[in-house]
Amino acid sequence: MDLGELQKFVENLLSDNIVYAPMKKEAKVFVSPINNFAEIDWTSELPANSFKSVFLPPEEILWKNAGKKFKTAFASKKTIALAMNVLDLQAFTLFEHVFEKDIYYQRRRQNTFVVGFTAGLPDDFRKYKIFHADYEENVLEHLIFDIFIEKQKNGNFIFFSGSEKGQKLLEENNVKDYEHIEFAGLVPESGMNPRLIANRKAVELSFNDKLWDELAEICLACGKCSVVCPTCFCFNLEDDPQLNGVERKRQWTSCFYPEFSKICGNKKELAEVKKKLYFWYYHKFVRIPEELSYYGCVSCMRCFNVCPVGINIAANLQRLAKNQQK
Amino acid sequence: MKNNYAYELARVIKVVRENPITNTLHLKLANQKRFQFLPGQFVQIGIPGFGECPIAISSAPQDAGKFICLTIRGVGELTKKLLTLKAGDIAFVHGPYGNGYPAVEKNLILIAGGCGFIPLVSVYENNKNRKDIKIQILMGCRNENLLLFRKKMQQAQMKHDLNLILEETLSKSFAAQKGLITDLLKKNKLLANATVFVCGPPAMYPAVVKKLLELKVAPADIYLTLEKRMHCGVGICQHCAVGTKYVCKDGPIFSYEYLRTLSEYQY
Ligand code: SF4
Ligand code: SF4
Repeated sequence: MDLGELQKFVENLLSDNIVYAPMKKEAKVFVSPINNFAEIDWTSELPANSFKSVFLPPEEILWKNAGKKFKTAFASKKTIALAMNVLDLQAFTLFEHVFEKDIYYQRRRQNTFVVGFTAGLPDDFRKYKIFHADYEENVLEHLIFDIFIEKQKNGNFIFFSGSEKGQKLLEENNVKDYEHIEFAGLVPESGMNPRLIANRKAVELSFNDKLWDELAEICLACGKCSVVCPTCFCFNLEDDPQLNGVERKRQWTSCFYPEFSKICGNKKELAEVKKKLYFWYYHKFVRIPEELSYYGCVSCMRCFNVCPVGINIAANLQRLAKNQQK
Repeated sequence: MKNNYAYELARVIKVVRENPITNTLHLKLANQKRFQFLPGQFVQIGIPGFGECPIAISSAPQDAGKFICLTIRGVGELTKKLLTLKAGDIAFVHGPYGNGYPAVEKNLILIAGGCGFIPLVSVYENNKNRKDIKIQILMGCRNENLLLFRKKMQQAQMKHDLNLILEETLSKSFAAQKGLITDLLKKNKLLANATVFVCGPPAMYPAVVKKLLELKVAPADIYLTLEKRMHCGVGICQHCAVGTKYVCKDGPIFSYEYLRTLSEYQY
């Protein structure tokens, strides 16, 4: 398929969906709602923000209540997450498992098409300086998507389907030439990625490592890193009283926020910044791998890019691994 | 697909005042006839507008088909509001959640500090008539006014080895000593071949566990109940994570065998 055909395909999608895609603004790329094909950035440069809010909005109403009446609120529009890079697809693949039994996530997902994109997978791994996994040939088999588009060196595009839904959408749009890839589970046949195991080992028993004290000295506990992180999904449930009843809302939160661990009597488990930082890394490198044998961090470095004091997760992991060997 | 965030209406059928800041609500749930739980499990109870919070069930599992009891101390906005509920009022409940206590196969030692007796009372009720095991209760409380479940305590004191220690003044109605819960551990000979269930404020755990280990109780025989902030109740929101597990779904009861592998619980 050439660029003109790709344009036709995308324009069809634009006609009756809300489409989110990477888009160049000033010097950076951002995931934004787009209105026409020309706005889309096809360089596979990592967007400054991720696709997270498409799948887990910063705030959503779960139910409304008035007296004894209880009304579930499911709101979602037909949406397309277009040209998702492989790292954001990995974060999305994680979400698919974390929210597997979450009715609000799943209802929204039913109305959402996920279309991945790469301009060359091995190149992406090099370009993104991936530290959470080694490159493996069959990357796509372990990612969840409906459609995946690969830009070839000659400028043409090849298509893959990853679900029945994706196949149907391709057929409806007269794309006949595509390969189907069956999702083969989170763990490759050869076993868990060795990097996943090594990173876990570096973090798991590191609480007494001096690194955490040093980071706690400079970290402002502002939580910017977790807001921007594509794999951070911690949330609060909050009640919002309205004139005609109460709305229960689900809202993003961050383990850096003061209320996160507060219990009765104003006691906080994560009172010290050191504990917050360790909790954050522990979730990504220990708890998620233990629960799902999958990555809790996808190497996007967005946390580093937004951190006002330059806390660098890749460098920190390296240091923990080195100290652990001592 | 089940909506994990939906609740059911529960009717308050009776309120018992335990102490000036604590009530026990007897509740009839919408699905009460089919309701079952294990001692140590909890439900989320709430009032729209005030959110919800986890509360351990303090009645006997045998009564689950008729009612459940929630013993609530009014310390926060929601719990204070829950104290205003009267018979006939409605509350919003979902659950039960959590793992509950493991089945008791040896002698049983219950160590409770402050409100800690709330989940343990259900274990006690479940095991009190057994002839094959001995039960020992060590209970610490600030003062007599804050004691809970007085009637049950009086019965327990007649039937089992119940030791009460108070931090402030002595009790008029109970045989009690003065001091801290750890003093009880020093003064009393613990039952041999026993499982120990400990429940109380987090600050109590290091001293109690250290003492138990000194007395050669195996980490696998010690169970602690953890309290954490909780939102979703199904192990997603991350507020209640403990190591690689969650208080809401893998807890609230954890063996010390597991906890001691985590840096924050190495006493
Ligand atoms: S962005 Fe940086 S300073 Fe802010 S909480 Fe994260 S690590 Fe700390
Ligand atoms: S690099 Fe940082 S922002 Fe990116 S996934 Fe890992 S922790 Fe999250």
